[in-house]
Amino acid sequence: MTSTAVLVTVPIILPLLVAGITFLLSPFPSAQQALGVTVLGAVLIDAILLLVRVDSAGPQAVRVGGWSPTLGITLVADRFCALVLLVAVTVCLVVLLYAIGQGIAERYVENAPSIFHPTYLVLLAGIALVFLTGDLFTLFVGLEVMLMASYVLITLGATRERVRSGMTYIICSLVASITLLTAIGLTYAATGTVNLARLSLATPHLAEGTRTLLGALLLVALGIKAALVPLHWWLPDSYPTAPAPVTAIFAALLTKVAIYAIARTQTLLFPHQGPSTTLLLIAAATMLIGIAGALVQDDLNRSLSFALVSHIGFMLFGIGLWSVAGLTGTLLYLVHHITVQTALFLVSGLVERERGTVSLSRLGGVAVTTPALAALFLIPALSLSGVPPLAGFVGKLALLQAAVAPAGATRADAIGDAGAFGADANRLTPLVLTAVAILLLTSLLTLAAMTRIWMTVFWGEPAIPVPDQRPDDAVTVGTALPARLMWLATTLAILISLTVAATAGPLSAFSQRAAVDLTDHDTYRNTVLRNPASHTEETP
Amino acid sequence: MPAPAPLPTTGWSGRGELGVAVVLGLHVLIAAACAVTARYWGSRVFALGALAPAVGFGWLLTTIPDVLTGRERYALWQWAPTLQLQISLRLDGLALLLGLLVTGIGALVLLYATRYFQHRAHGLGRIAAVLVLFAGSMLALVLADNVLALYVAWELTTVCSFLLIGDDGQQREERRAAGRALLVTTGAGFALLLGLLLLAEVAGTYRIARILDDPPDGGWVTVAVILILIGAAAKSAQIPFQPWLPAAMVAPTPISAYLHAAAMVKAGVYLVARLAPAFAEVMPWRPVVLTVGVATMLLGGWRALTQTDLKRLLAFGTIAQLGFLLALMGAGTQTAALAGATMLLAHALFKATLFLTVGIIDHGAGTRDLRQLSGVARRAPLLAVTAALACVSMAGLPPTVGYLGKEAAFQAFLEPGTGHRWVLIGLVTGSTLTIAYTLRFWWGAFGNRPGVPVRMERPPVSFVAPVALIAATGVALGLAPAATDALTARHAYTHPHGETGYHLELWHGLGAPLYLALLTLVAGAVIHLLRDQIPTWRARLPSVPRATRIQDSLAVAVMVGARAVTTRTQVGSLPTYLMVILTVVAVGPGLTLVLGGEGPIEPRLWDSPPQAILAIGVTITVAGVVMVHRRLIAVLLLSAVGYLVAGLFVLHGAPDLALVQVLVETLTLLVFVLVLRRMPPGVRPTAPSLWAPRAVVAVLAGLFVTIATLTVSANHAPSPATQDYLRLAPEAGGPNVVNVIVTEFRALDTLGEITVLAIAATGVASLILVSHRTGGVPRRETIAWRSDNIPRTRLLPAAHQQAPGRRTLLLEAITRVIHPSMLVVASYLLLVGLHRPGGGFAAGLVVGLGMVLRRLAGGSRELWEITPVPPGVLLGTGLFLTAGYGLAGLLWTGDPLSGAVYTVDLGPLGHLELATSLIFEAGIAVIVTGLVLDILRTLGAYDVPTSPAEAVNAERSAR
Repeated sequence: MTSTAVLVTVPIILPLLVAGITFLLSPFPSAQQALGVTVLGAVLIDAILLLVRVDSAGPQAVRVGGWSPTLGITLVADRFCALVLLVAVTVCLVVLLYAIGQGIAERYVENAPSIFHPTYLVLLAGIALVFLTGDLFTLFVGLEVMLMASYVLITLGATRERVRSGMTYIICSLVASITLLTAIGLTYAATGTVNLARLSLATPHLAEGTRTLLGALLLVALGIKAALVPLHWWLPDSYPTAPAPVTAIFAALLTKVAIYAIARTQTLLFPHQGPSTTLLLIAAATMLIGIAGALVQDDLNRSLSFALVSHIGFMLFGIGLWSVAGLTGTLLYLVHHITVQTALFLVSGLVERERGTVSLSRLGGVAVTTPALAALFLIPALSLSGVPPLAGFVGKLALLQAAVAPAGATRADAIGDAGAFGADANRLTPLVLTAVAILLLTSLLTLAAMTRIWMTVFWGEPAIPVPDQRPDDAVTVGTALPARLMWLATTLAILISLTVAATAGPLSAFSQRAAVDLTDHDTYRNTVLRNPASHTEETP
Repeated sequence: MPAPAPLPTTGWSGRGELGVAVVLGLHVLIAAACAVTARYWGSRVFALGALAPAVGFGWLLTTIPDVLTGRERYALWQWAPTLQLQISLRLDGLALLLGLLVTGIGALVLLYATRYFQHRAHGLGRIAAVLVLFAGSMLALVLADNVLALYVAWELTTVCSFLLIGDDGQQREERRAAGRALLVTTGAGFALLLGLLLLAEVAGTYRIARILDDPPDGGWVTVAVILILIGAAAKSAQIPFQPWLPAAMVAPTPISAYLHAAAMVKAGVYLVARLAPAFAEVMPWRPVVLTVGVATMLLGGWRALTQTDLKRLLAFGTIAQLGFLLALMGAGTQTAALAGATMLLAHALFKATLFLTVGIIDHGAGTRDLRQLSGVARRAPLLAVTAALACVSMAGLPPTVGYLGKEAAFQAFLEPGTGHRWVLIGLVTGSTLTIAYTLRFWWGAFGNRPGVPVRMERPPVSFVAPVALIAATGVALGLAPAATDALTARHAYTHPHGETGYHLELWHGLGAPLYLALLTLVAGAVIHLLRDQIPTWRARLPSVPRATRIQDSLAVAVMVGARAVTTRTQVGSLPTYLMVILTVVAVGPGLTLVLGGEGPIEPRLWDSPPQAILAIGVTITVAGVVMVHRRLIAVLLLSAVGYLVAGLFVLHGAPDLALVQVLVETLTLLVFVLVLRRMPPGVRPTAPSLWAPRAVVAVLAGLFVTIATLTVSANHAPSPATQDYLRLAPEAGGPNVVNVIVTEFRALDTLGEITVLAIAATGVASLILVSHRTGGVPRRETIAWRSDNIPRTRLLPAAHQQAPGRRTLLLEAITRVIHPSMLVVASYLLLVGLHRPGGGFAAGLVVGLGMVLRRLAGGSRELWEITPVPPGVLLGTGLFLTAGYGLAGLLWTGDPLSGAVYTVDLGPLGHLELATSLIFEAGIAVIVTGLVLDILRTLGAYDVPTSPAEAVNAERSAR
């Protein structure tokens, strides 16, 4: 047993094992809570150790069951996935604390067991599996695990609205899954493997048309999950109705898991020379259509959901530039966006707790009655809008630099672009410049949307709290009931977001190394395919 | 002029940098202290706040000797070097000048605020903290030597301004003004950011000093310059961005005086001044700066003439002066820069004084409308004198610093240069207007108006003192032109062009500048005397589109557009979303297929005729599923598809797949039937108008998948793993390759998928048990639970609970016979899985089918009666077993999910090969059983007892 094998396996298997135990513990909510928090803490430590390991020793591969990559499944940890995993686990822990504080985690109705904890752990396991797998089919399995858990969480409490929006969510997700499965099946038919490292050897030799087809189909399938325009409509219709912690964790992670998968598969299997017109156009459309929706909603959560869609475009923009700097930007933005969306939705949950509603027209004057809550909203709202010196600015800056850097042709090589994307692929084309303009416009409109929320919810005459519409369900709202744990968790989320900004130095350096990893296919393949400890030797 | 000092790259360098760290850190600390202590100290907290800029002012004073002799100060902190994000600071002549203004006026304004806010109780901590933070940000802005550091400070001041204008957001006007200021300046700020990035990337450095030393050129620099000027113009309220500034006057007066007159609005002018030495020659810098500057000066002056609110009058005056400054600072000659720096100093001093004066009048008289003010000079003579000194400076009369600046300004454009004559005409006209509105201000604030009651109260000396100090500084600097020249000339000399040796003097002798100054004075006085005519002149002017209205309609247009886009696309209809998704799937990748040109496909239609028959059967049945309107028939047809596909599996030689497919299909059908009992039999038929588009999309999607499959299989690559699987399967567990793949080679996928099953089961239970509410949440007692009075030794213990008419004795009898054997079959399937078709999944399904049978025979209570544990326990145990197996493998052999095969010698019975993966298989079987049990039990949970007697019986038994 190597410590690497433990570090890579634990984030997947341990939550599953404990999910099994929490099923058995369903009559004992406090035991479930303690166990859930402990496990997430353990996985968090594991993720930190893994991050340190891959940063010092390079990518690590673990062969599940000891089988060679031809036969079995290989788990691969590199800097990209280690960083995203760490952020995801951190956010999961914070949101779990919030959920415990809010009380949705424990309430259960009748003999339907208290399913929040096991489902939540399974969600994490699925996410970890997507991040850590080096196998295209296992990536699908990981997504399925994550999605099934999300189906259960989104319909939690099963109110009429939740079931209705859950239908939209589940059916659109199923279509995405079928599409993804088709794409994987076609890929296997064309190449005879689903191992990513072996695929990266095979795809360059495919016929041009087949390769483009597979790349496009994978992009579309994952694009539905990532809510890229025009595949995004399910998201604003389904996220806002779930309980605040569920919406928070969905908004933070689910779309980003898909973005991760897009970045992983596109960079490894379908590398592109120079900025991709298609990706930049989709990115621009996603930014604009998303933020347009955010501007005109009356429901706070719906507005935030549209903003979420919009900012997915930022991450796709970085991928679409096809440069190390662009991927660095995507990674930084990913980290920022995970933390900031969590914080915003948690704050929204606190607003609902205070005032019993998230309808903008029925809110007002929160800054007067609860100034601390206003401060908790203001920081992530400005961060989302990319206002310095917050984390959103750092991410946006990295993306802008990646786009603009080629203008200074003398410096283009300083960033060290090479690897799979070609050396002189960078040019500041009119298309890139247009996309940059749209990105900045979107930032401004995001600020406008956040200002609108700020003015109606936090400024203005204090509105009277709305009484709890559903006193019998798990979530108590419209009261000033003490909710210390919810406040603590929200503050933690914001502190994490601030930490992202404060540690922008090491973080951006790390992200750049991770982005270089993504273009360094040789190292990735060597890690996966040449492993002396395997049962059968393999030559790539 | 001494050569610029070498630029350090890392760490501390030179001396005095500790000073700047302390000063900037102090701003943050004191801001925090203000927020905390305001509760106890009230408005005195502003005095604490004044400490921060005061210390900064003192520190800057100590650096004057060094900086003015060319020994500039640098400091550098790394933030994110990868992104060139460095807090790099540089104290040179221009930064010193601005720094002194920002800190000096900041300290005095904060002192003034202790009196101004004396009678206010709420929000003082917030205002004081944000004001101090602003002072720190503004200082950082002028010291920044890295374009990103400058941008960070720039936006920080914007955010502070937003919070200060909005105050506690109770007034609609405050909110609108705050929002306008934020969006206009931040929006232009984004342009600035892009411009700075372009400039820095083209220059190859983010250090401003380096960019200025070796300015880049080329097309991108032009773009960068335009973007930067947009940002600067918005921040300094130039046309067409200016309306935010008068609107911002709703803020308390100290804020207007400090942010919106003395400090923040100077940021744009500062940036222009900073870059002008290097970029004034780049097109279109000079024409833009001069045109916008002069136009803004004229517009501001003209609008100031008709204001009745003293604060708004000053605001338009500020706009005018900012235009003046922009033209001077951006012109790019030494004399203009000298005039600009001097006017900047003068403007900060006199405008702060006048704003603070208005604040005192507002407090004392309760109004700042000049039509309602009278006799203020008599009640507050010191204030009148103070304001008069500032007015003299604003009008550009000796012996004030304003005079020095104005004379230099005229001189700058008397020097030869492209377009200088036109600029000079504009500046003279603007100065005339300045004198006119200066007179209007003093006359309006302090003049006597017959018939208007005198309401002014005498202000305390401590209220007026800070104001008087600022005004006096303006005069003192005017009386010491050499000192002023020393402060401002450092900046002027950074310009490479237009060396004329001009210096500030109170008396340059008779010359054109003096005559022009006299001309403006006379003309301005005339305009003031004719002030009653102004509204009629104004009415005669052609109406031009107002910037406010343009901005507002732009905002409205954006909102209308956003609403239109959103309501048109976000229709809330799942079928529509699915149509779009499928269209994208078919058209997006489909297009690549068409364009890819893979060549003709020659599909092999079938291997054997039965395949064709089954395929045709599948096609027809699927068509049937779409056509029928009765749910039950649709479900039956769907199952038929499943069985036919199982047949295809058999023909392909995959009995394992076929077995599982048949079992799943059967189970699904039975569950469907149980669900359908509760639903209306028919589905709403699709509207005929939707038929065509849906059919098109469906056919497109189908065509795409077909062609894609055919294309890809035409170039099918055989999997290299196939032979290895066949070779290694026996040693890995058994000869049944499919099951060995499932439990050994790709066990992780299996673990994932059965987790999906377990979670699906809980999801179904949670949905149905919770959503099935008829008036509130059902309580535990009302749900069927195990009865205690039934002997559990019987098979089908619940059968007798059913109404006699619903019992099917034949089914009961068959069940009693078959059920035990089903369990035996399941055990068999579990054990032989690695050798023959079967496995944990199939075993679990057979157990599940057995349960269905018992459910059908024994009624909906049956499964509640016979299971000693809730399904959750089964699911949990299964998950624990399978995941635990994975972890055990990791701990045992070092590989997660690895197994081993042990051979047990059974003597005469031969030997049995036992793979550890049997544990894994058992876990799978338990989960599948749990899934079926969970679904069946849940679906029967709310079955209403069939007769009243039974209801009572059930109720009793539930207890």
